[in-house]
Amino acid sequence: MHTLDWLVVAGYLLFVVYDGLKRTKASHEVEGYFLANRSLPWWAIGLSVMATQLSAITLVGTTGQGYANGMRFVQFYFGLPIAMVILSVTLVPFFYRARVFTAYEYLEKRFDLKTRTLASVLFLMSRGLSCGVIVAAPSVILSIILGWNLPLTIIAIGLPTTLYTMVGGVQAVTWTDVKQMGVIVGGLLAVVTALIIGLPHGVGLIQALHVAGAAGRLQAVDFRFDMHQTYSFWSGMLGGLFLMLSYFGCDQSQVQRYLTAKSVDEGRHSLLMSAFVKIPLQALVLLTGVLVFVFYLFNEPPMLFNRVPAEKVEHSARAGEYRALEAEFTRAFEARRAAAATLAAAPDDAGRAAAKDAFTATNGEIRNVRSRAAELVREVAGDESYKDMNGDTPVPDVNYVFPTFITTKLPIGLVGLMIAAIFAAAMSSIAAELNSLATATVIDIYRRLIRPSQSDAHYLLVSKLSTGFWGLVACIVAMFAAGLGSLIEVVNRFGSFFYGSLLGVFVLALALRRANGTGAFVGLLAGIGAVAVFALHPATRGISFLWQNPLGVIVVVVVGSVVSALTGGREGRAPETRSAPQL
Amino acid sequence: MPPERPESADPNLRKYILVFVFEAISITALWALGRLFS
Repeated sequence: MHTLDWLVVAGYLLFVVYDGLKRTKASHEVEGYFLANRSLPWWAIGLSVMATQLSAITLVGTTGQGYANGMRFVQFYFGLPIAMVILSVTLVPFFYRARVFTAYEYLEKRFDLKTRTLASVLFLMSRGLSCGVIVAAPSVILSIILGWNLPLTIIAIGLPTTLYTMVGGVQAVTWTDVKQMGVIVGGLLAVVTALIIGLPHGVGLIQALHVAGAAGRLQAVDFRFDMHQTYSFWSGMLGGLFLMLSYFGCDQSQVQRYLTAKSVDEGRHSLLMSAFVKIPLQALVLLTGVLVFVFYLFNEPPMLFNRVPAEKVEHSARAGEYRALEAEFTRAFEARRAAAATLAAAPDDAGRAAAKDAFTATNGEIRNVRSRAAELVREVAGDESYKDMNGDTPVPDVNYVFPTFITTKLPIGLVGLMIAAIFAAAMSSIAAELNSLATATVIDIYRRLIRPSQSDAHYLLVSKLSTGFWGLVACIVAMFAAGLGSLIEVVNRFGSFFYGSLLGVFVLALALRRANGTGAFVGLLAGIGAVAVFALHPATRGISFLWQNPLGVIVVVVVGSVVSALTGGREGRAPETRSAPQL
Repeated sequence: MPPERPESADPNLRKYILVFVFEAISITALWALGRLFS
């Protein structure tokens, strides 16, 4: 990296830490530290909500998806606007008026302590581990692409984030998120501009889109109903709806954002901002990946984007086979470049139709060579993840496409800005996770179960220490997760097991007056168990993970209702729950 | 005098409708992009 790029990254890191640290105003008591005394404007919360959801792995993974497989990943977000409206009508006013710190606090008011504690502990376990993954995933990629030391990369991301979150609380998280969203969106727009300007002579944006379309990269919406299809209109609309309801309605890292709003309406507006912006934003991220694909049609890409396994093969006894494949790849690339140029130059639909077959054939040859290279890596390096392809790219390579493009093809200055954007995406997600983990730890566990009657100053100190503790856990988990690729998948799967079930408990709480604590507790465990079996059983393993969420909701509601009925319904519950508002 | 709005009414109904309209436009635009460039 050029000195100017280093300066941009260092400047970003220094600014974000300074900006976070100065946000100690109104953070001198627990409510200020965790909820900003419910004083934040909707637009800042809205940007913070989006920044939290857009992690570094989402940024590089989604652009990689755009490169390898086109725009269809955008369907994952189709349920989001509907979820935001449902939450604005139901849970947002409910949580806000209940004056709770955590979503799980309400479960004790409605059900009992064991249900609250189980939900909170599930959140802490899942988010504590996933926070480590959020640190690990971009650290691994950046350390490989930039040749940085891995533990130092983990510390470069984890330490400043922990520092400003620990000192400034939710104020620091939110206001740094606002700037970080600016860096991410600004960086993406700059890259899109650079990609359009960098198109070869005679190829304009429209021609580039025709070529991308011929490669199937612009097929964004698939109306076929196939439960094995990971991303389709229906899996996004239905499965995605439940996932988004669960994520934004029951995950403390999101609930806490809108609890900081000045009023119920400001909380609603913060979610509606995502409802309007999320799909266009994701389309922009994916389109960036599609334009990177077009760029690499005219400029030779690496056969494999991740250099580490490629180098293992190059230094093995089968290096000759690999070199032969590289030569074959170069020939296939030249053929595809010529076909793409012919397609781009075609004056009308008839000309494009005639050129499309040749282009599709050469594009298929690129896929063929890459899949044989991946097979070689799998055999030599023993990396089983290389057996699957995503479009024309081996699955593990997808996350390396965008960082490789950034560091090798962008102009000086813009490289630094985009590396800063990846840092920003990682830090904004980690900060929100740390803040919410500390909130659940202090409010649901420490203050409720361990030390119930201490001073506010005591809880504030414990909150800061708790934030630091979770930052340390995230970095330690990241060190281990980085070396074990499969662990990342295990953690992600573990998190997905309980999302729908947690939503089911809240549905049970709000929609079924007769449901009781025992029903909710047993229902939650049954829901998690059912989703785990569904996800791991050979007969259902291939079904898109998005369908796990509606399943979790249904099992919790059915089992919770039956167990509640068998155990005497809601009679005998604590008196204060009767005053809880009903929807 | 216009009737008073009940306290529990959500004043954002128009915004919610706008969200659905905007989503329908976004999905249609994405679908059209695929049809136009295929």
